[in-house]
Amino acid sequence: MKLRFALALLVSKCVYYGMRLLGRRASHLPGYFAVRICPDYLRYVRKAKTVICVTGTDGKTTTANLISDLLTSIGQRVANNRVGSNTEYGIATAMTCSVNLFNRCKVDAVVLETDEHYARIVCPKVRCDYIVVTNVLRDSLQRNAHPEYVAGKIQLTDCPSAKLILNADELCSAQLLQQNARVYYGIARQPGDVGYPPNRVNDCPLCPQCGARLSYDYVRYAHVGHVHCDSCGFASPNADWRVTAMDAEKRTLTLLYQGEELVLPMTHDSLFNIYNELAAIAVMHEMGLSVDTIRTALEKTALTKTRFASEQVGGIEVVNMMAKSNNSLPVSMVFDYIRKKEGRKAIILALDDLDETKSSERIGWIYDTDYEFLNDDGVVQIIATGVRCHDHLVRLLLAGVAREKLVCGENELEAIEQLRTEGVDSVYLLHDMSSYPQSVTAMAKIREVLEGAR
Amino acid sequence: MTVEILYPELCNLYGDMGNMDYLRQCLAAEYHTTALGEEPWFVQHDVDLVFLCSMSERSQQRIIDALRPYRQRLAELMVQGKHFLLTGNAMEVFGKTITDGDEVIEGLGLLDVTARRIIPKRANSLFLGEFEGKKIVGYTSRFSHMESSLAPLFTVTKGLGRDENAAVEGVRAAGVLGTYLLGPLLVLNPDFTRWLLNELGAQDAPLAFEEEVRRAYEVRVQQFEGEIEL
Repeated sequence: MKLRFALALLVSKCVYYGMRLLGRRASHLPGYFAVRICPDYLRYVRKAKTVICVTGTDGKTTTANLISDLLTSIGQRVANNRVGSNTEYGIATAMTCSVNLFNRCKVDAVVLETDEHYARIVCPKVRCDYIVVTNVLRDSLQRNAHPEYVAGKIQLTDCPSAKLILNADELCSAQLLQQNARVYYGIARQPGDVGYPPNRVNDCPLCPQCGARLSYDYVRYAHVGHVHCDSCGFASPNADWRVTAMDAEKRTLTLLYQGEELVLPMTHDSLFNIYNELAAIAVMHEMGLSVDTIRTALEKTALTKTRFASEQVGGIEVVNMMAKSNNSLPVSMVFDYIRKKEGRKAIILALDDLDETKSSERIGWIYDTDYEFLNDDGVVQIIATGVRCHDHLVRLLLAGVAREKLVCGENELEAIEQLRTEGVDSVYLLHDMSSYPQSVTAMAKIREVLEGAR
Repeated sequence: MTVEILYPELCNLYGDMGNMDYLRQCLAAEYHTTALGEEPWFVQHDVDLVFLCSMSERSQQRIIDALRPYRQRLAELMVQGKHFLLTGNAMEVFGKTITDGDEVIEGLGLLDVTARRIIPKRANSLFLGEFEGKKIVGYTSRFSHMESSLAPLFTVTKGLGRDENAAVEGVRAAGVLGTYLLGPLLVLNPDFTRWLLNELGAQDAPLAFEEEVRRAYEVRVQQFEGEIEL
């Protein structure tokens, strides 16, 4: 087997460097060849001091990237799979990069974004020290069906030595893998939290212990918050890392950890990203890094640009945000984030797959998404564009958005020409994960329209 | 006119509650929502339409258990020709059995439907079919297939029907309309929704946002009739 592994590593390295020379990303194929030659490739790659797997429905890319960036910013050498694939082959590629040709580890840490379906395969093989499960929420119906199905898959992960980093406020993931040691993070009740699930989707209405209807102490989105069961006494777990206050202006988080109050930088003011940051803080602290070191790392790190970027054009703020389409809750969260922003807003929905003919993704997700959040006085225009613009238009009308606020056009650049330039304080371009390059072109068009109106 | 939506806290997957959102916009009716643990409205009252939509596989058992005490009343309503719209795997709840490996789950036994789970495989497909001469579009995404001697709801032009090779989809038994199709069905298919409204005696009720809904429908029919991966 050792010979087979050596051959797999050699081939994987050759493919990796060959593809890089050709200007390719080399995210998948080096790992593919490695695993094809040596099916147990991941078990034989020399383990780094720390191996972290980040899985879950939403936020795993952001969290894994954030952990990588934070560790890199304090001088650690990190291997990761951020260039692409989060399945076994992509992870094998990252592991190839973590060692030299003689299988000597050349990094301090490996951070692996891990597809929920592959966690049970990958985590034991890479002997991970920490498994971060960001959440288990409703996702693409075609890929992930429903949260019970996904949680059932993660539950099969047999990796008893790994410590779990879990969101105490999200019950579908908080209950996973009870045999593993765990650290919880969460956010205490905040202004704006409500006493009932505020979204169309709530995937955890019943007590996981006795099946009775849960009572909500507070909820901030979907079923995320703090619950208890009047019937059997079950309650959400207590968070070891608990945010007690968030100051969006000063960009700080106040946390309570083991009775001590800490103030740390906030990398982004959306709740989703605060949870992601908490996961990163918790895992870094578990690695033995001091709070001061974590603070220094956070001060040096900004969120990856493809997820959020803003600029001023002629006095109008233009924001380019990723909104993971086919996935209702993140899009609802983005809608919620925008509606709560001050001022008059125009929104461009460019959420779809780029080519309908090559995709069989369904549109049911838009009926799980809270388009009702856009039925708001502060939203003065919505441009629905892309191959499914007509579906978005119908959904917006059903959500009660006034017809006169709506523009619908398949061609994104043509539709943007109808962008309002008067009476608008900010423009939000919402694009899908796969359409970042197109969003750059769209941003240029928005600039052109706004500057042309000056 | 009375419409009852059963167990929406559990039966709400795949955006299928959009069917009721759309129906509410089209049809002025009394809408009753029944949660788990509550007595369904139909037990003590008359209803014109009962709606149950997609749920997780574990929830199928919960819903069967919840409805079993009212099986006789459901049978009466079905004989009376009351309408039931059962989307996604809700149809299986009303069937005879759901087989999952060695396990056989007893359904309500109100429809001649036997379902067979294919977990861990999933059946995903776009759907193009016909209903009374009109094109039907939608999607299916499920962990099971079914067999039935009942009349189908739709014929299959493209995509998955009752099982991998079936030329028909869903079931239709008097007022019971059962389909695996997701969409939401009523939003995606204005002709079918028009037919349902007429069936319910609401011939005068206009389709909400008809122009926009029809435009989306026409675009989708054109796409699905072309070269498209299922």
